[in-house]
Amino acid sequence: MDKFKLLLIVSVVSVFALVYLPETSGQSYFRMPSPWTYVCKNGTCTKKLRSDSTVIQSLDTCRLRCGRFRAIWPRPTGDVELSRVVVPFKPQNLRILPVTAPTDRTRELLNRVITDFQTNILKMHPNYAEGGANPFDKQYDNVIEGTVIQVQVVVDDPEERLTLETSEGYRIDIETQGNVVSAEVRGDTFFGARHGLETLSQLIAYDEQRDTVQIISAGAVIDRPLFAYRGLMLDTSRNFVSIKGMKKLIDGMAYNKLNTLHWHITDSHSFPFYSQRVPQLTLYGAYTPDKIYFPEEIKDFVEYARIRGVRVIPELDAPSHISSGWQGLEKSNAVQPGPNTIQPSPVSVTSGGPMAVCVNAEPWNQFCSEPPCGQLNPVNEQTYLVLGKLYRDLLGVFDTDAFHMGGDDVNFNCWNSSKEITDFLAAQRRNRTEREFLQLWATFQRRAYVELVRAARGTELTPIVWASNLLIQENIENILDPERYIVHFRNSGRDRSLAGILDKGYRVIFSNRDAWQFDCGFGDWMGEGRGSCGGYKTWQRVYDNNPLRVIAQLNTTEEIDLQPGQIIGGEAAIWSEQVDEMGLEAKVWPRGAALAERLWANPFSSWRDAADRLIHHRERLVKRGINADRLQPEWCLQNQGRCSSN
Amino acid sequence: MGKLQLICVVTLATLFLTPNVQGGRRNSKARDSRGSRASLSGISTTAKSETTTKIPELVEKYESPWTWKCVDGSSCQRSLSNATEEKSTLNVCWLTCGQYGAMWPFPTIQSHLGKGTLMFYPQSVEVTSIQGPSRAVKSMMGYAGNVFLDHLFRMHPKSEGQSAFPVTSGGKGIEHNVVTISLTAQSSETRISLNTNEKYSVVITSYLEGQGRHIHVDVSAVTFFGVRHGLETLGQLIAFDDDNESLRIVSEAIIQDQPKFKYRGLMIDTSRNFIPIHYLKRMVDAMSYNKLNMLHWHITDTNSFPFYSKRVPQMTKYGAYSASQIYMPKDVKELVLYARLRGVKILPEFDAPAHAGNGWQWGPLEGIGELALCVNAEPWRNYCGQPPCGQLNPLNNYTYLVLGEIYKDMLELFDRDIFHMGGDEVFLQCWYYQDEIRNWQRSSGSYDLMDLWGLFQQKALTKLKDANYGHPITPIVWTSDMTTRGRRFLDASQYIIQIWTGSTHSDVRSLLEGNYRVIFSNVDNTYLDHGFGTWLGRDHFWTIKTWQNLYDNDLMKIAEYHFGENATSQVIDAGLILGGEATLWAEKVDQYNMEMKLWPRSAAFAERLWSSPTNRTSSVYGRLIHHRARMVRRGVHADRLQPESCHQLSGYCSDPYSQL
Repeated sequence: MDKFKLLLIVSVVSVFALVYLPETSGQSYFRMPSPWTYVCKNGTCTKKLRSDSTVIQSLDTCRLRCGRFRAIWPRPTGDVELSRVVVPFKPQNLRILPVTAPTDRTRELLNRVITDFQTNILKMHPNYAEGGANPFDKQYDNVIEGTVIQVQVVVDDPEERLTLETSEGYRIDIETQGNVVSAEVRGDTFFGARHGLETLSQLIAYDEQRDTVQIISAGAVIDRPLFAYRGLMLDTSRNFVSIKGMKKLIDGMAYNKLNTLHWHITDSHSFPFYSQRVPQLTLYGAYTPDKIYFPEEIKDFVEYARIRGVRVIPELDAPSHISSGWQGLEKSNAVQPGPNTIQPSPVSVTSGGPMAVCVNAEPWNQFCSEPPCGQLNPVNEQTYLVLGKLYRDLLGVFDTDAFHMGGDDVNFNCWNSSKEITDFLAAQRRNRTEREFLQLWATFQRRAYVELVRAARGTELTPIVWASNLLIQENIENILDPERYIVHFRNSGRDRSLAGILDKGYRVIFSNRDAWQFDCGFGDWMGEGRGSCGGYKTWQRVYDNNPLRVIAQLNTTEEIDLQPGQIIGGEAAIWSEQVDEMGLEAKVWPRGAALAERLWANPFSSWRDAADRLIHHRERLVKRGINADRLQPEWCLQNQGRCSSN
Repeated sequence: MGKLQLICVVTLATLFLTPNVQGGRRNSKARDSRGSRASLSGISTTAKSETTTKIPELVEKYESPWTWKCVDGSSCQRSLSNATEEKSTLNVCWLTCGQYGAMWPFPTIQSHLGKGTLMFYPQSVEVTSIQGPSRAVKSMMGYAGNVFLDHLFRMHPKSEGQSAFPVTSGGKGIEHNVVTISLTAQSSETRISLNTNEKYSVVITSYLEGQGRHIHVDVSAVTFFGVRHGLETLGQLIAFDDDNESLRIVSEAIIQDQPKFKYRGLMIDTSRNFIPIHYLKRMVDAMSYNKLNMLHWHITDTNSFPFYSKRVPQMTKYGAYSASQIYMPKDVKELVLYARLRGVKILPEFDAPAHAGNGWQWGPLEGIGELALCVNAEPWRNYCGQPPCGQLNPLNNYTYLVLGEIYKDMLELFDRDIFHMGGDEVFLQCWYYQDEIRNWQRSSGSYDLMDLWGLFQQKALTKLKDANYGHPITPIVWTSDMTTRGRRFLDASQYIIQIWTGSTHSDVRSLLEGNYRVIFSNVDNTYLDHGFGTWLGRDHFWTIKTWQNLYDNDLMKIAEYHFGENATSQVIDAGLILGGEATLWAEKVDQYNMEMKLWPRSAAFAERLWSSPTNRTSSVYGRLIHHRARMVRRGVHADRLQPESCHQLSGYCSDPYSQL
């Protein structure tokens, strides 16, 4: 090597050092003149040296201008016509025109959504901090300072409660005239409009170069979901999740247009719901005095969710999956009434034995599906009384058109081990056969439903039950009316009992565990194994789980004749044996986003076509404060399409 | 030690409080603090309450009907309280239950715990004596004392930046109890090396004094690092008592302890995805709660080059993901100090010649030729083990020049005694496809590219030694083809080998036979990133390594597997097994999820490495669950292993039928 050349390079190096080395004191990061730019090619953004390209733009800008669906997640189902021209603006220049709404209530709801919409735009700035100064509060050039974005939101329908019939469609029209960009969001209902605003926020992105945000200058999006029920299920009994943590879950759902939170609020492990009519259940059933959901908190939560387009459906699982708290019923005087309690009426325990049987029974595997065991006593009249009170408490704080009644994992051996129940059967000259126990269960379900209807005081309420062997019994339609009941299917997608359920005409929610169970894969919480439900469900698997395809592949002898709308949608379950607030978000996101696109758009295409858009969307979730899991090295985000195994 | 001096130490120490307290506040405007907002104290950033939620007053009166008792000397069980017995809380019960109480990892020499506990307030705790051979060691101990005191205040669930403890106890006399602590170290060592003595003892005594009890704690050790471990243990002999809103300490204890393995590490990768310094500090915090002592920082790789080299800033210019995803020297220095004060050494890795690509592209632009070959080459399967490809150019002298400059930059910031040189997954085909290298083969007559790799390794080591001004420095390399068939390039008296192959692989045996010192990161049990699906393609190959896998990764048994009865004499007594390290490769990791992937599984490995238990007894699960809850209270986002009911009712959550 030439010695001179060596010297040269050393001096080049030191010149660089002089240029770029920051003052060691102070926090001033050096501003790196990035040598890179991003170019849209075949629908994805590719990293290139600036010297090799005529377009200089950041990754976010490129994504806004690239591909059929740009940066929108979930992808729209209707027409998407969008200009490639973007207009930079400062968020302070957003002019929100007074919303056009049929009622004060819808107007109020829309205004709440608009507040969130504006915050989400501020969050696009890398220096955004909640409660901190507005990072866009600076002087821009005259063009940006003079650009105004006008947003008009229009809703005609006064519907303010999301039901299975609610239309969630919307359309967005954007046009630019002079220095004014006008965006109109027209929703079929309030819920459609909020989805529209969510999409509009995804047509806006941060621009590194100008240090401000930019919006697509012109175009239209027409969109509506293909499934009415797009949900997540959260279990708060195995482990408690605070209302704060649940609100963050709602935030994430709103960003993905998921519309249903199925709240598995109680189970045998703990009873965190504060029951005003039966507070003993909470006193004895809550893990600690601060792990309780109080009525006011729940009402506030339900409203929080509504504003974000999410309905909250409570589940009171019965007759199985109960235990904690029920031991307190025999100690009705234990609770001193507080200012917000109703004096608990003493519950008689003299007739029919205890309301809960085989509580904490061992060896548990003979009496229940997982410890601690416990099951309601169907032959005790008091059981229905208490259930009725609980239904009234729940319906008093939730605002829902559907109610999840549970009905899974009923263990007949548990009932068979209870003297009261076997005596009851003997008195009726019934055998202790599986058939009779099924009958007992069916009767329980019918009576529980009567209590639910009574608690609903005449309002229409759709019952949901877990798929079980009860539902494949002959003539079960006479007890569980398919016109009324929705069945929630959580077995493997290859389980043919699904065909039987569909054949009876039940509407079905999909949560097949081979794809849509998010708590799998973290090891067996009791034993030594690596997980009880077949390992971690990757986002790809979640995405590819098309319910219609699952049904088509059931391999039944007879063709399944699906009624229109019989598959009302799906949800991913987060059973919480190994989940609490610490790991919740990483386990739900971004897989929940993959689920959301499947349920919103049900595309024919597979995860491969969605991968680049998803990892980009994940970054958006993170910027908005969701601790979503990382799917790939950032290199793959910056070099799209190049991280594939083949 | 004079009181004035103590105050000095205390003030100095407050400069470096845990990031949860100060770092978080300081960085609160920056993007990288975003994830930290999801701490227990402030889960929600966006979830603002729509209306002000009024919690019924009832909750204040809602006294728990439960009490906890230590059952069978191994676990705390919940039962209904009755008027005749004194109530105990779960945390207090755990303090003295079982041989080890709530200690994690368990002590290896002596663990004597009295059955009694005493209440006190953290404001009545004072470090009254600090004895050490030098000012430096004394001020480090003062600092560790402050970290300890900070934890005491934060044990109150309502603490947020200031004490939430009451001042008086309304007749219970808690405020009359005082705790004094004396800290003693003998050695003037201020840096952790592979020879550092980490042994310590903690002795707690108490006696009547005035209206209350005087509790005295004596923490003594050879080095500062032992004293720090002692304070960590002391923190685990104290718990928050919900019923009395005070702290409780075991009233009488003698703990003597030292680790079974010197090297107890975790590896973090910051090249696949960038992780802000703030989160590395949080990782150090959690390591210190588990007495892990080595943070192996896989700082660069092919994906990105986030380390700011002041001698060669081109590396970051071309290699960093963005201008805000760079480690500046000042930040690195601060991290190294932050970690040292918590008993953790930051061990840098500069992986070469493979796993180097992005950041090295600027050679031709500045007229010095290709520094790295096959950078981002496609189809990647022809040139590397995973995309993006990249491997240093061993025939360009500028490569070594730049390498040497980067080594200098790194050694200025880190300890200078050990350095990880990488050396894994060299893809000889990448080199083979280059004309330049084919020509070299022809002219040198050496057709085995291992020779070229060996040449590279030798030159790189020379550069490393030069960068260290000729002072001795111990290189570490990963197992690779070179540790299998190129050992002639790796002098066993110099190199430490980090084993990432499976524990039963024959290389393990032959490396130990070759008298190499080894660190175990065997892929069959210690890869924390496994189990979340692949990042390439659809399906997942590796399943998660459960905490049991990590706990059961017994280094003694691995030695026995390969050497049978001779394991002790041949391998263990010879000190060849330095320890182990769990790795968190970052293809699917960044600051938003790293903690739930690290913890509590790494805690399980920490006990494996510190205590080297002969088996996993049934009481381990309960103690681990309890330890996990403690980590969460201290701000670590550790994943949940079981329903809370298993914590409250130990025992029933085992599945004796799973074997059937």
